[in-house]
Amino acid sequence: MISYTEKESNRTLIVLSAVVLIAVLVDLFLIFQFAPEERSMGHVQRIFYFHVPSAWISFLAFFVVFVNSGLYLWKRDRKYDLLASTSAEIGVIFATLVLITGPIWGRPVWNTWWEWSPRLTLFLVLWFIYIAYLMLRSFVDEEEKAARFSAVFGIVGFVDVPIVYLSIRLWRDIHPSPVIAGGQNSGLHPDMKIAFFFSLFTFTVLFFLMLLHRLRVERTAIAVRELKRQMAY
Amino acid sequence: MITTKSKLVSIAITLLLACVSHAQVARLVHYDGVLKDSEGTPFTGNVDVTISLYNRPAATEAAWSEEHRAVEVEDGKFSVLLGSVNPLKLSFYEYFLEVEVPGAGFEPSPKRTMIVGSGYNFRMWFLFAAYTIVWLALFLYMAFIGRRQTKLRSELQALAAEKGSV
Repeated sequence: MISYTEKESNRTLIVLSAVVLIAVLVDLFLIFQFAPEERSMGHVQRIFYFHVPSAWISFLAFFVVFVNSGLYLWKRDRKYDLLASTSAEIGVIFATLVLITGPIWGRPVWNTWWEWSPRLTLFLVLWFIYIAYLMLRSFVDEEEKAARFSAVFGIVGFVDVPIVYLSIRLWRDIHPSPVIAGGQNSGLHPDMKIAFFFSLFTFTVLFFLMLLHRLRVERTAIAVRELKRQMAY
Repeated sequence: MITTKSKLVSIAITLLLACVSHAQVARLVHYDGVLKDSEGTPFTGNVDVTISLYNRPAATEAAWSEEHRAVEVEDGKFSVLLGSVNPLKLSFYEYFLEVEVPGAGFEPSPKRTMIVGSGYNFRMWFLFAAYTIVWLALFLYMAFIGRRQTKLRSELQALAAEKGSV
């Protein structure tokens, strides 16, 4: 049984929601007004400010899956499985947004929606891995079995994340080279950096807000199931 | 407790903000030009450049105009951002662009170039689409889990009441 105080949970959600709302508004200003226009791509480059943070959040979400899957297999505590499964769902949403915003940026800049380059292909594989993770959970009826299987899948599946991250450093790719920690000839305009890092912050807080909301739903669902079980006896 | 109604309001506000931000984005068009002297030699140095947009090829009155001072020209090539001096408030579709370099003895060729809405309008739609999709998807997901929570809570309360009455 997972213990939590609903009042505390509600307070945290309200505070986080307020932070997210303010952050989104500030982020809007930074992306559309503050950050300078990129010289060769024009305004379409501004997609970068939510495409890259979406990718970062999907990596963070899958890392949460990885850590909690390991913890579940070690301690067999249901709370770790809950965290892993909810995080995987949110990670898939952000990964889907990466796969949508990427081609929308690519069409005017590369003149193509999609290229089977290492980075793009590996990211698509990553998306399929976590879609499979969610499908696996829904196909196995027994809760404990589903948690165990998906925990193993969650650990193995994470192997693709560092490969996706390193792909543009290891192989030639149509995808732009890294602009953060990308070496001597890379970098961002200082104002672009502010907009980018603030966007990263906004998306990170949003991720935790979504995770808490989703966990609350799962906990209520568990309470409903337990009550039904008790009443059946 | 956040209701479905307030969530819908927040979605509407977000969409409104998206429209407002879209409308408020500075309208700028990147323009690359080539400057050669009367003998056809690429010019290097700094010049004042006046750029005007006309509705028709033979129009005498410019629909919009701006002057860029001391533009850096290297090996004949220069680039300016139209709208950075005098805001571009034209509904971009089709205009005729004229470059003038006053007093330097340059004759731009061709005299006027047609430009179409491939400037900010075309690319802005991609940005607007990406932005709307991201926030709409995230808010729809939040609305979905909020609705699910409300449903589960009422189910839990009904079950608890039923259990109490048994």
